[in-house]
Amino acid sequence: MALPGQATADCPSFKLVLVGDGGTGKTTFVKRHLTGEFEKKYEPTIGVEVHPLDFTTNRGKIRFYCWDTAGQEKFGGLRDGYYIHGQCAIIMFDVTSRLTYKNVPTWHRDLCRVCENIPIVLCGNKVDVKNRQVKPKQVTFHRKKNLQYHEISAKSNYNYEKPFLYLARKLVGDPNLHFVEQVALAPPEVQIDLQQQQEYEKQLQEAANMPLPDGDDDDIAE
Amino acid sequence: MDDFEKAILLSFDQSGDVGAGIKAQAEAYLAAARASPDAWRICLDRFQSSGYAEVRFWCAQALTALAAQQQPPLPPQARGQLKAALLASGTGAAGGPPLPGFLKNKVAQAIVALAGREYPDEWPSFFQDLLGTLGAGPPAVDLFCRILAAVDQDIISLELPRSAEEAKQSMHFKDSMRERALGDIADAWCALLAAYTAPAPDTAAAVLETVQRYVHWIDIGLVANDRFVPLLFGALAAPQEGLRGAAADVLTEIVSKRMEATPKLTLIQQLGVVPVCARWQAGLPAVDEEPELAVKYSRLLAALATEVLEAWKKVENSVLSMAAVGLAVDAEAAADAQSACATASALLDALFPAVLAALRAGHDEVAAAVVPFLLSFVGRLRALQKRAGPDGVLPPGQAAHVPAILEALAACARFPQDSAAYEVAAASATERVAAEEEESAMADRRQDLFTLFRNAANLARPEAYRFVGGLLGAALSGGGGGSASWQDVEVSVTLLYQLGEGAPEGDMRPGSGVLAQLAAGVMQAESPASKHRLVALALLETYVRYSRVLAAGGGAALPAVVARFLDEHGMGHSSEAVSKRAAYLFCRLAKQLRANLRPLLPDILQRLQPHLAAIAATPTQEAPTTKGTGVTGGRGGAGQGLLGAVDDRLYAFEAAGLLLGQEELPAAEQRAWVAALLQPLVAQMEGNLAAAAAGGAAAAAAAMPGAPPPPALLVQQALEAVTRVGKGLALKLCTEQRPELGGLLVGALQAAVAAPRALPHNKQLRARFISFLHRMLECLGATLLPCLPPALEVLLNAQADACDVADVLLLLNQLLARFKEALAPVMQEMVPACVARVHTVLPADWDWSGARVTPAALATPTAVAAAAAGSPFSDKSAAASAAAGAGGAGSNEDLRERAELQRAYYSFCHSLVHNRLAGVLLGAPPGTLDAMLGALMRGAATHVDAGVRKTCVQAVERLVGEWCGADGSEALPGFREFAMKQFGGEVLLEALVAGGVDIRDAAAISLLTEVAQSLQLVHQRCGEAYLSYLCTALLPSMGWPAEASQQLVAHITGSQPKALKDFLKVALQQLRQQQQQQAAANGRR
Repeated sequence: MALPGQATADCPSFKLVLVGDGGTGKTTFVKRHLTGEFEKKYEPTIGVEVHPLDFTTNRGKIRFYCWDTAGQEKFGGLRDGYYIHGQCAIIMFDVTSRLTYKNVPTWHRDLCRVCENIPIVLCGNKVDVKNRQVKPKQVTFHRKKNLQYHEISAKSNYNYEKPFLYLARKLVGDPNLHFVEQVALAPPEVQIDLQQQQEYEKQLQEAANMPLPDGDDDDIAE
Repeated sequence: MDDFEKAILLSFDQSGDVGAGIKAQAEAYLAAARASPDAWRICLDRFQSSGYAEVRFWCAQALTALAAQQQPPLPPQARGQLKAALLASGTGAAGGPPLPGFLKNKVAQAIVALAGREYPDEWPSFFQDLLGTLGAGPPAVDLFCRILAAVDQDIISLELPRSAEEAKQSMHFKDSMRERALGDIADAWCALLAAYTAPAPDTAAAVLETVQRYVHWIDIGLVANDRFVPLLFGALAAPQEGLRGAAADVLTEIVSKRMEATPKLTLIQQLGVVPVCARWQAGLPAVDEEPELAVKYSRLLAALATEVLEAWKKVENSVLSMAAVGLAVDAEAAADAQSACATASALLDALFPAVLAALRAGHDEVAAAVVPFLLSFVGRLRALQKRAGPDGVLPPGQAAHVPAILEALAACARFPQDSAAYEVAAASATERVAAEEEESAMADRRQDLFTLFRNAANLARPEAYRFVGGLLGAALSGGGGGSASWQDVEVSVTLLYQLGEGAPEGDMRPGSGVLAQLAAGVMQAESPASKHRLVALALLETYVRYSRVLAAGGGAALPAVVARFLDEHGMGHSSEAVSKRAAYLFCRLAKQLRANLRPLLPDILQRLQPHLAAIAATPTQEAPTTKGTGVTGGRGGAGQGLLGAVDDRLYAFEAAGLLLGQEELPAAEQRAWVAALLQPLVAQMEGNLAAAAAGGAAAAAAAMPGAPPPPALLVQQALEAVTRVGKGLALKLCTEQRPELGGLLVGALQAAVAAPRALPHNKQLRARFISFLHRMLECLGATLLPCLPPALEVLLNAQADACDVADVLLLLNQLLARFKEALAPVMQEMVPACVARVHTVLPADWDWSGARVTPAALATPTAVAAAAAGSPFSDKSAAASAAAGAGGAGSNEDLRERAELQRAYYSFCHSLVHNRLAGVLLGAPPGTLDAMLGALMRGAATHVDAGVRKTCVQAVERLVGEWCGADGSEALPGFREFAMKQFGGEVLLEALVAGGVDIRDAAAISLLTEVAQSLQLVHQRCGEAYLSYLCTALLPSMGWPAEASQQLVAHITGSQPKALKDFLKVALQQLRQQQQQQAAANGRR
């Protein structure tokens, strides 16, 4: 469905609700899609951004109006009011933070109360980070609730299209639907190891600032 | 529309057309409305009267918040009115069109928010009030179900994170429900099911979904009774999918309820669910039409089987453990246990065929549901087998399950008859995508299935072999006109492959071993399906796993199998996935059966040759764009490409090298073959160099699909191919046994050197060339040394940047470590060039202290100079260049790379002098030594990293040791003076005191130890002159107290280095303090 006041899309379009704890990478995720980023309407007071994300399938173009509820966790606002008339959803958590996974059931509950029986994808984001806290084996929630699960990394575009493909297939009702054109995505962010190195240096610095055991530095020196 | 409604609609607007100011105004208005004492009345009124769903939603949300609010609480009268009004709206008693689901949920939430505060003390009749509404029909039942769901979600369920306070409330609420309401609620469930199953199946399904939430914590008798269970089975037999699924879910919950073993078995028997499920042995109902329902059935089946198995294990274990601790089991208990076990066994036997039917259904989720049960079932069988002793046999009743499990697993692991997997090439993108997805789903599914298959096979290997043998026979015996599909062949061959993992030695033994016989059969078989992509892959993998069979019997089977690797079943297959894998697997085969393949060599080489030529001529185009991106990354992205691009087809060259590198081959033939292998590659390098140099980057960028590959890639591919050939040629062979082969490699090296020379900008080629050099060193050892200087000079060309030069230094360090003094002639040539190149990349104004590339400095380039300050070597130019850097002269990345080069340079100098090659420096042009020594001295005096300082100090120390004789001689004029004053004075003492090194750092302690040794060395070589320089000139100028100076001299002349180090440490701390106090005093003045 098109948004009020917005030129109606010339293709099937769906309201997609994107939820999850703050800092899990929801905004980064939608902003990877360059067309959506270009056309988005930004509403800074409320903190919701609606991005039209287009995908070309073998059955033609489809559009997701992606409601990025960034900031809702802190700033109140309409909360689940944004979910009204949502047709599909993505619940995002951060595999480097256990708490964000622990809160997934709450997001799922709130979502399902407003949008009954919609297709939902659970996404574990930031799988590019080495030090992950939520291991793939620990992710079980989707099995209990019949959700699709994908591991993604918004920063490196890993599996970017997977959640959209699943939702598109469910919404269109064609399990063989596929995307025929590559989506224009922002380039993967190059991992210059500077940051990692700074971290190492910091740790080293901290270690260096620890006083050595008294008079026993011979072991180290020789 | 009034202002209130307008404000809500404005705040909901996401079109971007509403100005920020207006929106803020609307929100302020709403915030004020919510804060007013009358808020509940306003919200309730609008909830009941507004025509906008958004407005009603907002009001219900606000009412929920007000109902839950602690301070100030709603007045009792308000709460009463609210309850009545909400119930009326939710049940439809208030009239008007029915509410949409999301508003009904909001009403339920608001009511539960009230109940959460009031039940049971202030609102003891909460549930009875609800039950009282049920007479109003389906809308009231619907609200009742939603309210029970909200009670579960908002108060009871521990699936959602709850605070300690909330957890307490949850317990209290549950206890109150148990005391006051559950009996009535369960009665209502029965009544509702009885009333609605036929006329309103959706309503009945909603009731069951509610029941499912409660089963796990309520008294099981409330549902497992004579009234409810028949209703449940009635629902399970209903025509509607939703109702059947809901009934199955409730049964699953009942069956999974946590209970003691014996009561659990009794419960399952009483439920009568086992006979119902056992009927599914002919296939799960609905698996084709309604797979989601079939998944629910499968989960019920799995839960049942698992619970029976667990109960059985518990009963058995309790008897065993009583016996183990010597407790007598009385006759009655023993009989009970025995009867429980018999019950469990019978139940399981009844369920087993249905479980296997679920597996055989071939639907991912249906099968996945029962796999965990089967894993634990097979685990139990293994435990039984172990318990029966070393050669334990399973009880016959249990052993009978194994072939059935294997059979079902094979069926589940088989590609479906209507598989999307194409035979050789996909006809369209749609077909390709469908095949890829099916294959990756199958790979996922097979992981667990094959684990299970191997575990089950281990229980009864003969049966497993018989079973797989039967499959293979049926699939492969058909010959040319066989009816077996590729799916059958693929799965049977793959299962044979699986059986080979960790198989007992005897079974694998060629001739007598059963597995070996099966494998031999596969090797001889001809099947029309064997060209199918997936079959071809399975066959090739299996040949390699069972390569021992090929070696046996004089290698009779070998020619035919080798031919398959080389013809259209392998490297000649039109599918790239197969041809690539075939190259890799052929290489492994060549490694394992090197000698056995020797007699076939002429034939192999002849057949391999066209593949080699094709691989050399078609380097894989490294796509500049990775999947899903339109733009390439920066430097880091290019760097990834350097490592990521490994063409597996090149293993074919490695295989050729391995086969040819056998000393048993006749020398002349071997030489001719190797020459024939290398010659086209050398020609390819030489022939494309000119075009590559001329075309440059433009040709690479313009590459279109179908166009000939860019010449630079052809050069690179040929170079890589030579490297791979080299992997098969051992050092001893190339240098001692067949030096003429070494000669051929040297020839290739000479051709290869021209490549980086012609294409100095090509980083990828450079990287390949360096790994080529490494390989040639492995093949040729010291005989390569005379050829090295031209190769190394090429790498040090005028375009070489910091990373490139650092790579060369690293390579030289590796060479030094291996060849030591033998490297003198090479170093004679290389050192001046290296030093010159390093000092071009790190020019005179380079900051040798490393202060600019600390993370802090890189983050804020302006705050730099401090770390380098105060030392005699911290010249003004360093500060100047730091300032220039701050203005944007070089990027952080560039700085970091150059700093890395500096470190590599120091470790190069260090290993050079420590491998007794300092003499090279004396023979070098005069500028070389000056430059190197200057760099070392700056590093020793100013570097922020104590470890780097230590490296520099050690290098200079070594030179002092070698070049200053204790007899007063010196290797070059003025060096003694230099050793005393610049090294012994400025670096070892002045710079150390000046700072930059944190004494608490472990690396600094290690530096101090080095300094102590150096001080004593300088004294040992320069004697009294040094001491008098210290006491009369240096130390006074540094402001050392006379006493401290004397102590220092005493330690230098008389103490162990350790004592000197300890003294230095203390002295340094004191001096630092003094300086700080002085500085502070100066500041005050």
